[in-house]
Amino acid sequence: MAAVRITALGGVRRCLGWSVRNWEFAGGSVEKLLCSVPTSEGGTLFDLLVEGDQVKPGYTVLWNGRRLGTVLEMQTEVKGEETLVAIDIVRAMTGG
Amino acid sequence: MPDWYAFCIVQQSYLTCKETKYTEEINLRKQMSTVGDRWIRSACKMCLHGCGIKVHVQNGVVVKIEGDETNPDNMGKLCPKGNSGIMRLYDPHRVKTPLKRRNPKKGKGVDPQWQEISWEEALTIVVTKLNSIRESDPRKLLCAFGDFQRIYFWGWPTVFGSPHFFTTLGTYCGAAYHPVNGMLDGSFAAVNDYDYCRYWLQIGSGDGFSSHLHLSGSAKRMADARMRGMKVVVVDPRLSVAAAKADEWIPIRPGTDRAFVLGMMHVLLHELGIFDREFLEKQTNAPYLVGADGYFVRKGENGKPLVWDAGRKEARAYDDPEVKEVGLEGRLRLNGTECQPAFQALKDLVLEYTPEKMAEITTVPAETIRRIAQELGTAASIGSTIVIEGKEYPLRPAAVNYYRGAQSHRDGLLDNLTFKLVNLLLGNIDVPGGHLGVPLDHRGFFIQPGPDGMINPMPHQLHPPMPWKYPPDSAHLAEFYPIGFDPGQLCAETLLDPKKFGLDFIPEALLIYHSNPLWNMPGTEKIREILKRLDFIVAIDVLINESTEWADIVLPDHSYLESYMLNCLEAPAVTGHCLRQPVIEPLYNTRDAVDILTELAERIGFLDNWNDLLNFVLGLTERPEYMLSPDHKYRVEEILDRFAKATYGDDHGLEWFKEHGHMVRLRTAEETYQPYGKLRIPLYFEHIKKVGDDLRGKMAQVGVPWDTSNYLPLPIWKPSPIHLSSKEFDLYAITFKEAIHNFAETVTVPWLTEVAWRDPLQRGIIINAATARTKGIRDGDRIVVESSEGRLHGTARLTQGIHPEVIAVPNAVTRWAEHPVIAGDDAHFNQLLPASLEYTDNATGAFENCAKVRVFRTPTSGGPG
Repeated sequence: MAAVRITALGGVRRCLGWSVRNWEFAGGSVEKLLCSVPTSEGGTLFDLLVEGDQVKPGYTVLWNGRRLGTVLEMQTEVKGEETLVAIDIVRAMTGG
Repeated sequence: MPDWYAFCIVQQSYLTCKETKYTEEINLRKQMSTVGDRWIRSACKMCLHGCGIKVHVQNGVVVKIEGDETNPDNMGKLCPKGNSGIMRLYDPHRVKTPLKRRNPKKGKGVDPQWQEISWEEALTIVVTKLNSIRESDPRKLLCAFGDFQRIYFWGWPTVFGSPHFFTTLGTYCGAAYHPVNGMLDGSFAAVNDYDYCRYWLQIGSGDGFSSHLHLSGSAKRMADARMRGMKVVVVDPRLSVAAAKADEWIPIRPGTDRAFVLGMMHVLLHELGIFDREFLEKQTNAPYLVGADGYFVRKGENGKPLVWDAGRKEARAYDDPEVKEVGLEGRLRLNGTECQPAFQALKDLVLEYTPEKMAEITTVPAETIRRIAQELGTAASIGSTIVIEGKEYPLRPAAVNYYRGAQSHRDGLLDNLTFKLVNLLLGNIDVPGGHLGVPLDHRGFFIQPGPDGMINPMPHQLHPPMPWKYPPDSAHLAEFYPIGFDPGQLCAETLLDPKKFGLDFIPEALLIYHSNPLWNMPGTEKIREILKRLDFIVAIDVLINESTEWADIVLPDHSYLESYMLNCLEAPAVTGHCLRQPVIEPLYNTRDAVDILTELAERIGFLDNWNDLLNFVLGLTERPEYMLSPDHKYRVEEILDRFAKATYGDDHGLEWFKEHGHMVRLRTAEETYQPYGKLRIPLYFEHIKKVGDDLRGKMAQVGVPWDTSNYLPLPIWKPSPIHLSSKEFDLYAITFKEAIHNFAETVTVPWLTEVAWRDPLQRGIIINAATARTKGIRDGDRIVVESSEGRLHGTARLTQGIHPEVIAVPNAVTRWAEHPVIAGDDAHFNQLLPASLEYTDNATGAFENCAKVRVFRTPTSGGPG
């Protein structure tokens, strides 16, 4: 088992029903990890964040602080002790 | 190393911050806080950078502000602005309580007939209006956010749902500059190495003399460097403070600095053969083979880029350890395709940029271009090394430094690439003596391994790129600038003709937060017209300015000497936060601006998202115990306490900072010099080409004509529209600032204005004496300066210290808002600048900071005054 700290912010938090969890995970890729996290409406975190082979516009997903943009980048093997942050409210943050 | 939004991975070893180093300083600070009158450590906010200050308070009254000698950023130095902060605090014209407009008529010089009202009444009015907008379409709210020291709180509009950037604060100077720094080496800004540079070529910048990065400390560092013999050559249309103090001033035609440097590159590569071969081979993509399509030639589809192994006479992957001799020059055919090393492409490109040709463009004599190239190239001492903190580095003590004047132009991307590349040729990027990246904040360089052995390009450090979308949501068309900053000036064009740009909403209201769009944006008349069309304007600020005087409601913020913030912003030599803290109780019925934003978020109904956004941008997600709970309203002190603890450890909360003042320390050599290790940096910006090609395809799909001509992997010379305008407008107009002022907002400070106005050149419109004579203009004459966009009036000040084709308008002349210190001439430079796509860099969103003008005596001018 691998434990990953998942932080859900904004709309992602509302869909999951919680903000922070140490998620126990049987093992596999980040994609599999996301598929293992259910939303309160019966889907998965993967369905919520991904469309086709890309992270949906408007969503930001950080794996150990690095942005994930594609499903290909989600093939990294989970080792445990990693962090995942998902948020949907920084899309239009402006500033010159 | 962290991504922009991943404050998260700031290293704990770094966070604990070597407390032993601070023992002496801490003792000194404790002593100061207990002896006699109170001296309180804080941070300045008379510009954005937040120098360390100590404030003398007697009987609850601030009587003196000095630089904090324990802060290694400014080392006890403080510029005139910082010294005069006391006059901002006690300015009798501060907004003292919430104000409501009684006069429905709005416009320049119209009395708003302010009525003092309670906070409850003011907030109720604001919330009612904003609630109604948010429920119908949040895009109907324009937002003009400023105040760089509170940059982490600029996300309020996005949580509300407003995607607009209705200001040009930052865009004015850095729209092209910051993305290019981020794409080159993961930095945010850059400056030459004060410690080891020996030949400093300064182009269109005030670094070390009058402006840009952390002036107080930089001026001291520059002075020390001059004392040890560093030579400074300044290229500028105007005899600036830097130019006056330099060893040599080279006047140049505005907007042609790129041509000057391209000419130098021609000399270095084609006449002198000076370039750092080892650096180019090992630290850049200069050897990567570029095909006829402009992309790297790869080993198989999506394979590694190839380089030419001149020893084996074959192409191999760039990281193949068997490569005997990396080829930088020559041309070849691979699999039927013409290709060449990127370095050869650059060399070919600058072949035509001979000093003679560049002299015609710049007016700088060809022999001067040759001489400066020779001096710079020789001073770079290619091959030399130095040991610092036990590690050997290349020593390249010669570099080009530049800022707004050199690159805030219509083709700003190409300007920036050129200045970076000349440094790159000399091998001086991020090495001792050279041109050093400056991080945005305490997180350091934004370093991630990218594809092809390169550092990952990071053009966006303040926020992620806004995804492409048509029709766009943002009034400043951010969706069409994938590597650019927010081109706020485009609002002036789009909002007056929204359908033309596909915008399917009409703005109803504006939230101004420490900004002044009517003053800081080009196209003044257009901005005024937009303001006229809005139903409701609310402003949060300390003073009334040209824009807030249009407001329906004004919510007064504390002054910086009454409020908290943790500051760490683009410091050239140091890292770590300095606390801004109240030195007295608030004088008036004001509130902290962050608390105001939080109050609005709660009342409008998005407190949870506001807290989540702060969890994200402040990096609190790395320490979940310090995360803000979605449903709790936090005061700014609580937020900063959590930020401090999450960043520096459990024992370093707000109370620690209140006692000790700051965690600022000098950056180590490892943090300063090539912190990206063996990752390569780009000589050839394939990434820019890719982004441009992608954008071109998307715009073509929706049938929208869109210029992408500046998305080039290497810079070229092409004239800006100002170089092509009609002969009727025969002079170039530029603007400038000196150390005395921060933008134009400090002209309300009497001490500063008094000092500035003792210098005739700060109070008039500067024109070359010989040029003036040809127009019958004498010193002291009232004159009109007119561009295709607008006109201004002022007093002619004749000097030989300006290029004959140029007039210069200081930002210290005046403002027009109702403040007794600033009422005066109508000499507002931005009135001259067009705000349009034509004058905007299609790659970065930078806008042309120069105007083409004609100048004449006012018909009523009675002669010298």
